Amino acid sequence: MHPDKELAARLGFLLCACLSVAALALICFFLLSGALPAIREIGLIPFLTDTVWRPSQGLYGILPMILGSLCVTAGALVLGVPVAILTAVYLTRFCPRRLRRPLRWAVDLLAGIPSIVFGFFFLAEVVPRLQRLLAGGGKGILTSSLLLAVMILPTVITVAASALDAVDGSCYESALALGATHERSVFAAVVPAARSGLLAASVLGMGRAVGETMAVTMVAGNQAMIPSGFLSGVRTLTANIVMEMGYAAGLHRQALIATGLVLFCFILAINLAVAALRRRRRP
Amino acid sequence: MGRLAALLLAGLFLLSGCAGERGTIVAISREEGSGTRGAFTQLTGVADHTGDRTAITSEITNSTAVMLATVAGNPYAVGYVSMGVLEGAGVKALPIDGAPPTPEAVAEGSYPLSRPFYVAAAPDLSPAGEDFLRFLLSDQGQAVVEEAGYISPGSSGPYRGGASGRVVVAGSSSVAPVMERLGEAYTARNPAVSIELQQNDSTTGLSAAAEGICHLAMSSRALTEEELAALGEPSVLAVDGIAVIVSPDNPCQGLSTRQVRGIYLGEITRWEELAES
Repeated sequence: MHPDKELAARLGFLLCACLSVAALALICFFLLSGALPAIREIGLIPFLTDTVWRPSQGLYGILPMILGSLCVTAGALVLGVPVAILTAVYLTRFCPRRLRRPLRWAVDLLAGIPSIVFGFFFLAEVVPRLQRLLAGGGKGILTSSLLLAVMILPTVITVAASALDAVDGSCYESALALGATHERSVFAAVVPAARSGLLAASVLGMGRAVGETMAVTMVAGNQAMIPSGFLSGVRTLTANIVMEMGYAAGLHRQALIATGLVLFCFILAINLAVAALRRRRRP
Repeated sequence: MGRLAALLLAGLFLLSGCAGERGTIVAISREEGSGTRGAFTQLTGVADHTGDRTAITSEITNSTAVMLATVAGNPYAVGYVSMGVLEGAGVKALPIDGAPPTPEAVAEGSYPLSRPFYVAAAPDLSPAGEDFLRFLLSDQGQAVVEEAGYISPGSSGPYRGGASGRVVVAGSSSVAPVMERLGEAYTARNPAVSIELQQNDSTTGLSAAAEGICHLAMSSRALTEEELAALGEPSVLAVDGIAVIVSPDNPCQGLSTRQVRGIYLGEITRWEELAES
């Protein structure tokens, strides 16, 4: 091959790779430069631990939103991960061949539905029904957790299924050889072998749940207060940013960028956890 | 005898404004930048010189559309929205202080919750923008405003067309419906101009105009001192009422301004309390 063309191609690919890194670097720079003045003015500890968020009166405590994000994410994991993992087990080990492709296709379709469609569906159909069932708890942690659980299903199912597929066939066969039934072999030998992959899947699902914005803003109630119970209204960090960014100015805007920085740190921690888990998988 | 007493009690309940509904009142409000929220809290007294005192337990919806969907689906909810978007929205608007929530009652002044829609121009407005603004305030523009169900503050004379370019209008989701119709009527006369409508809220639109991101800003509340300094006096596009809305399944028949204030301050928390006050 022509050496110049070779070099040109290499430079071209390098440029593309650099673009992604550049985008990430720009976002980091924007977050840090916008957030640090706010954090310096408000104080890091007061910003993270004050319980009142009232920008019009100069109060910038995001603890209610941090707790809100944590509560709905925890709820989403509790509701979604067991269902997703069991679905992945079914898809890889119990599903008849004919059903496998349509089921996989359904899961992929679920992943492709825009999140705002989910949000509007929940707002129009699920919230009123829950309202009637629970006499007033329509919008809150329960509904948001339900919504996010459904949204993280495709992510967790896909990664968990590939983790289960990657388990060596000998795990399953040796269990069978020892006299275990099909179900026992799967749950006692295959699933534990895929443990770190399943954990990585759950952590990825958690990342998706923490970052979800528009759908959660429609069903969470968005009260800027510490959640008082399972049915209590709640505001997540993402909802806080999307509702106020359009009109925020000055310190308020910088405080919202600082909120974005907190979110970024959450996602960073989650991604580092996934990387660590993936490294541990290789013996 | 007992049945008569029960009938009498029921009659008494029905006569008092808001009877029959039992349960916690779910107050739905808008985000802080919303012009409708700003106007509503000023008019009802929920906001005073110390600031907006809306109860922290109020649910926040971030646009007119989500407000309507939320109230329509919840028989315990109460919210507020521009009167112009009530058509076919699936919610019930309540009479306030005895006055019905209609444009006629707003025009004659008996309905207490009404506010003007403002249009503010960005500094150094383009000729196309100025032309559109002229159309908005002209006889033809105000005719569209009245047709849409709002009250016209009067017009500045007939409009003569002839402009080209692109005009970006941003701001209140309450003003957006009538602005959309005005945009259509304008482009029918001036095909060379394209009107781009961005819907967010009053404060967002006004700060966009001040920064030069859009040409015209729509606001459903009065401008603050900073905004007046940046943009100058706005023009009044229309007068609109703010309707207090409940679900059609809610038996409430009307509220007083005092009751509305009590609900949004968090002082009145149950529907039963409204029957007595």
